[in-house]
Amino acid sequence: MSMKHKITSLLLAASMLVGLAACGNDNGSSSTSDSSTSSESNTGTVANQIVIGNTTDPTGDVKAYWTNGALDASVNNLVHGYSTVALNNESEYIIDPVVVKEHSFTDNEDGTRTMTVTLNDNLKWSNGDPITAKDYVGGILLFSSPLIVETGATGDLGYYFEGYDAYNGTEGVATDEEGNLVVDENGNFLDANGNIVETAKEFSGVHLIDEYTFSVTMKAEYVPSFFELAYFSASPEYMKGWLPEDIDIADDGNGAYFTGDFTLDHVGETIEDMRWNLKAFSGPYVVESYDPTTLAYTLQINEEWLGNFEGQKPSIETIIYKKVLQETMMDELRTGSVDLLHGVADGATITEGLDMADEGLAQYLSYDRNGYGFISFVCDNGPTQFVEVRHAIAYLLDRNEFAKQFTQGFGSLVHGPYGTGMWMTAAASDTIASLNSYAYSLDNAIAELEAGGWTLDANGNEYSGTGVRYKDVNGTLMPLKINWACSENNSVSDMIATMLVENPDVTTAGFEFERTVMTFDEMLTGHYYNMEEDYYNMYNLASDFPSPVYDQNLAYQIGSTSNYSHIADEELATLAREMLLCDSSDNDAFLEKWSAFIARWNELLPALPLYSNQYFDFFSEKLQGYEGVSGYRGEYDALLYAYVEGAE
Amino acid sequence: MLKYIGKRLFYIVCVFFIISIIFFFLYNAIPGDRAMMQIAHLQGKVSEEQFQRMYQDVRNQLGLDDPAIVQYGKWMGGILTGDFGFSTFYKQDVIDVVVDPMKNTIFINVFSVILALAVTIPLGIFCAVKKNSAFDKGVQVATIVGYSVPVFIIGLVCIFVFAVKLGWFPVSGMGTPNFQGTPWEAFWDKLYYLCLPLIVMTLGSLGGMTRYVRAAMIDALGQDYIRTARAKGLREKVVIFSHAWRNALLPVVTLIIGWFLSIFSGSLMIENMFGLNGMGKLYITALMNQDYDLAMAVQLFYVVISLVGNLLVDLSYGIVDPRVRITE
Repeated sequence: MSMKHKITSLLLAASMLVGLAACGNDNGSSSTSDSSTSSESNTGTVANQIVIGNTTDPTGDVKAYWTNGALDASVNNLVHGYSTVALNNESEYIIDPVVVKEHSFTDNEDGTRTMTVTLNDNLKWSNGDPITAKDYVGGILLFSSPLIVETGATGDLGYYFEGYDAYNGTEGVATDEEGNLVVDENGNFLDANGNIVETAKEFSGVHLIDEYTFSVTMKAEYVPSFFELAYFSASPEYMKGWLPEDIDIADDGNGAYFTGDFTLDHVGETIEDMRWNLKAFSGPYVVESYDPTTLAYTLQINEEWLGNFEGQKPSIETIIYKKVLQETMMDELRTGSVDLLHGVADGATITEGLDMADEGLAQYLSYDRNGYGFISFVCDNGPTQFVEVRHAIAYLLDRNEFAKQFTQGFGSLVHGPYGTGMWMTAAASDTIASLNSYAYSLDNAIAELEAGGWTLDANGNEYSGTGVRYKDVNGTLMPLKINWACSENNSVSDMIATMLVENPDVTTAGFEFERTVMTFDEMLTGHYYNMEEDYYNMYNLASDFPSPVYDQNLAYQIGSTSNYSHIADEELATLAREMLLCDSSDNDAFLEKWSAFIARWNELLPALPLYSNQYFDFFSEKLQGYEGVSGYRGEYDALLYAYVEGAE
Repeated sequence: MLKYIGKRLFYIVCVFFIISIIFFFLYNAIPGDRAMMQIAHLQGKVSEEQFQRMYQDVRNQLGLDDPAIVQYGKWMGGILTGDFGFSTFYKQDVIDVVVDPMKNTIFINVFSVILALAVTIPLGIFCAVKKNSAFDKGVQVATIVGYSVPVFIIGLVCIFVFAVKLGWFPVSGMGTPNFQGTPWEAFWDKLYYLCLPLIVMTLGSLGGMTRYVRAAMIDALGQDYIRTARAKGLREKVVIFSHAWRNALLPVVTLIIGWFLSIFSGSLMIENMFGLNGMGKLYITALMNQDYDLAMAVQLFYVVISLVGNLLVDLSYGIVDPRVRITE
C-alpha cells in the first residue's frame, strides 16, 4: 500500500519534469528551425533572416514624433526613407539622386534661401501608391502644426523654414515679467493686448509647385550654413494615411496649407490610427508586424524601394528587432537567438563579447561615440557663474581615472564638447592635444579659488584654511556651496559622488556640495528650462551628435532659450555662430572655426567633459558584409549591404 | 448567507474608496510633476515657448491646478467610468497599456499555479504519510533550501545551466519572433519559451506549499478519527485520501484560493529576469518612470483582487467545512 503511494507521488512529480523536458525537447527542435528563424529552413538552406536585439522597450509607435525609444527609432530608420538629402559613406550630406530629379538654390532678398526640388516620378510607397510632392509638403505641414503638438508630438519638423513661427503659433506672443510666454487658461497664447494669437493657415516657407516639385525656404538666421543640406532635407509622409480623404494640400502662392476641416476633432482619430498602424512605408523595409507579447517587430523587404543614394537594396529578407535584457543579451547571441547587438557600451558586456569573439562564437566591430558625458554648470548663478570655480571643480576631479573606470577601458577622456568619433576630432588633433586637461591638482584648485576672490570665511574674515570659502559678491557673502542635481540609479552620478563630492580634497579646498537625487526627466527639465528657479549649479548629463550637424549656435548665444548653461561670452557666441557661416564645401574653414570654438570652450568650461565611449556591435558568424557602422551611420545603413551567409 | 455577502460587499466598497484615497494622496505626495512627466520626452526637441504651452495644456488637462479633493473626484470618476488615465511612459491610455501584460501574466501564472499544486500536494501528502523517512527528510531539506534561496538566484542558475550551457530553453522572451505556424504550434512555442520561467517560479514556490500540506496532513493523520478509521479496517488509501486529506484540506484550501487569485499579479523578479511582458514588469516600469496613472491603476486592481479574494476565502471556509456556518 505504502509502496503504491510512493510510486504515485513519484510519478506525479516525475510527470511534471518529463512534461517540461518534453516541452523543451519538442520546442528545442522547433526553436532550431525557427531560430532557423535563425539557422536553417526545412529545405536545408539558411533562412534569409536575422534577429537584432535591443535593450530598450519597444512601444509599437515607430514614428519618432511622439516617442523616442531606441528600438522604435531603429525600426523607423529602416522603414522611413527617400529623404531628399542622404548621408554618403564618408558621412557627407549629398542630394539623393534616387529621390531628386532636379534641384536648385535661390538666395532671396530678405536673406532667406530657397531650395526647389523636383522629385523623380518613379518613387512609390510600399503599397504601390506614387510618392509625390504633396507627401513631402504635407509631412512638413502636419508635423509642424500646432494641431500635432496637441497630440503630444514634437511639431518642429519645419523649424528651420521661414514662416514656421507664424504657422506653429508662437509669433507675436507676449511675455510676462519672468520671461514666460503669456498663456490663457485654455493654453492659448496671448499677445500684448491679451488677444489670442492666431496661427497662420499657410506655411510661408513651404511651397507646393506641382505634382513632383516643391520648395522650402530657410530662415535668414540659418543662411548661410555649413550644414544647409541637412536643414533643407525633407522626407515623405503618407498623407493618405495621416489625414482623412477630405483634407488636401494646396498652395495659392502664400505657402502650402491644408484644405478642409483641419481640426483635431476631425483629423485626430485618423492620425492616432495611422500612428499605431502605419499604412505605407518609404524605406528599405516595411513593418510586417509588431508583437506586444514578444516585444518584437518583424520587418520585410519593401519591394517598391529603389535603393539608397547608390541604388543599394537590402538582401536580408526579414529583419526582426526584439527586446533583450542587458544582463543576458550576450547569452542570446551565444545561443543564436539573436544575430546582432548594436551599440554595446557597457564595459562588462563588451568584455564578454570580446571573449566570445576570441572563441570564434561572434564577430564584432567597434567605433567611437559621437558624443560625450559631462557635468553641466549653470554659468549665471551661484558659485559656478565664476570661471575660477568651474576650473577648481575640474582640478578636483580625477577625470582620467573617472573615464577609465566608467568606460572600463572602452572609451577615453575628452576636454571639450566633442566625441572621439567625430571627424573634427581626428582632423584637429593638434588643437585637441593643446587643450587644458585640468589634471588633478588640489594646489591648482586652491590657486584658482584664491585668484577668483574666494578668500573669505562666513564672517567675512580672511579664509583660515578650514570650512567653506566665501566670496564678496556685490557686498554679499556667497558661500562656495554647489547644489548638484543628479539622476537616480545612475552610475555616473555614483562615481561623481565618490570621486568628487566625497573627495576629502574638495573639503580641504573649501567647497561644500549638496547632492539632490531626482528622476532623469526632472533633472533634464531643470537643465533645459531652469524651472527650479536657478537652485541647482550643476547637472551630470550626456550628449550625442547623431548626425554630422554640429550646430552649437543657439546653445551658446547670449540670452538664447537653448543656451542651457546660461554662459554669456561674446567670443564663444561669435565662434559658435561663425562655424555655421562657413560655406558648406569648405571643410578647412569650418575646422579652423571649430578648433577656435573648442579652445575657447575649454578655457571657459561651461561644462566639464568626463568621457567619450567606444561602442561595439557584436554579431553572429552568419551575418556577413556588415561593416561601416559609425556614430553617424547606424546599423540600418550597414544592413543594406550585409547578407546572411548561405541564404538563397 | 446572502445577507453576509451583501454586507461584505458593502465593506469592500468602503475599503476600496478608503484605500484609493490613501493611494491617491500618497502618489501625489511623491516629488515630481505629472504634467512634466507627460511631456518630458519633448524636452530640448521643441522650443521653450512650445514647451511652456504644452506644459500648461497638460496641467489644464490633468487638472493639476485644481484643489486636491477635486483632482481625486475627477480621477475616481474616471476610474468608475472605465477611464484609468493616460500612461506618461507608454504615451497611451492606461487601459490599452495593461491589456497585453495582463493576458501574459494570466497565461504564465495559470500554468505556474497548476504545476506547483500538482507537485506540492502529492509531495506534501507523501511526506506526511512517510514522516521521518529518508525521502521525507530529503524533501524537508530541499524545501528549506528552496524556501530560503531567493528566486533570482534560482533563476540565474537555471538560465546558466538550462539555457546557456545545455541550450534546452531560450534565454529570455515569450515566443519566437515572427513565428510561422498554426495557432496550436504557436501555443507550444510560447509554452516552450515559458518553460524555464515556469520551472523557476514553481521551484520558488515548492518549499512553502509542500511544507504547509505536509504539516496539515500530519496534523490530520494524528487525529482520533484516523485511528478509528484504521480500526474499522478501512484501506490505507481510503484513510489517507477520504479521511485525512479532506480534513487537511481545510487550512490548505485558503492558501490554494490565494494562489489562484495571484494569477493576476505578475512576478517582478521573474518577469524582469526573463524579459516577460507581464504585470510585474509593467508595474515596476510604471513606478520607475513615475507613471502614476498606470501605477495607481495596477495597484487599485490588486486592491480589488485582494478584497474579493478575502471574501472568497471566507466563503470557501463555509463550503469546505460544514462546521463553519456563515451567517453574519
